[in-house]
Amino acid sequence: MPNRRFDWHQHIKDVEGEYRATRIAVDRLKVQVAATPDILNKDDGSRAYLRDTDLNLEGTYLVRLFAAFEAALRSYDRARHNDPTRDQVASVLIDTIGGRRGQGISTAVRDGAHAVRIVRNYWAHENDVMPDPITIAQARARLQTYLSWLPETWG
Amino acid sequence: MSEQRSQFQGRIDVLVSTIKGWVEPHEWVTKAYPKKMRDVDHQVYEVPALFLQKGPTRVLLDPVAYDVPGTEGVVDLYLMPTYDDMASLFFEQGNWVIHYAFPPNPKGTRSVIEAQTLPLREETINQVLDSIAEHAEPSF
Repeated sequence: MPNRRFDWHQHIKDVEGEYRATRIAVDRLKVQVAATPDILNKDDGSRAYLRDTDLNLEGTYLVRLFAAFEAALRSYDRARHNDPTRDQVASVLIDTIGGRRGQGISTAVRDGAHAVRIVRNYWAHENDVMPDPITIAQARARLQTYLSWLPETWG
Repeated sequence: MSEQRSQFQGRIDVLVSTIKGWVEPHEWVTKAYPKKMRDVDHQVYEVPALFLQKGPTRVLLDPVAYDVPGTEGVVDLYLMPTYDDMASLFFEQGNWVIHYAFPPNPKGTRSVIEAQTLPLREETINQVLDSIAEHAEPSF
């Protein structure tokens, strides 16, 4: 696991970049398949799943985005406690690292990270209640802002 | 090391030091930071990224890739700490150009934001950075 905050920021930005490229690809494929359905095989499910791929794309990438953020917090938390096996859940990490005994991150910034976590939980089927939607760009901005409060390096 | 990657590293080294020299006289404080990048063959290599700050505005000049269709190098400018996309630099036909959407002039007649592609020079990079400092607000 990287121990430089900058590397984690980059990783999150890279995931957003991959999302954008995939979004364009899926949008273009939808148009092409509508015009020429035979470009996708009917038998292997690719045609049938194109609609779900489109509908779930933001959710899929939001899960990846949050996974990168959570891994960054876990890396920092393990270093801070000098315990490479320590394994707190995301909600605890956000509050303990950001709290008064941690980095003293403002409530608004912590709430921003929690809002992304709650949407992640929905897409990961940990929660059946549909929360207010968050775009990938909004999620990235919230998670990057939270991470910016961590030290430049740890461990 | 692939020739393309080596060329890219060289171009970024020159770009970062050139931009430092162009913006520091305009009150931008800079700090280079080594960015680890992974190549298609999973080789890790480093290029410099450049943090820039003027007053409360913080911007990151971030090398993105060289193996991009249609260009030989991409470098993005992000507003920090949210990493909002502000502008992009492309290496095309032997020169860097900067792609940026200047906010509309409130006294002007056009309200539509149109992105412009400008040759990268001391004047243009400072125009873009000052426009970001004047208009941009982090999205969160």
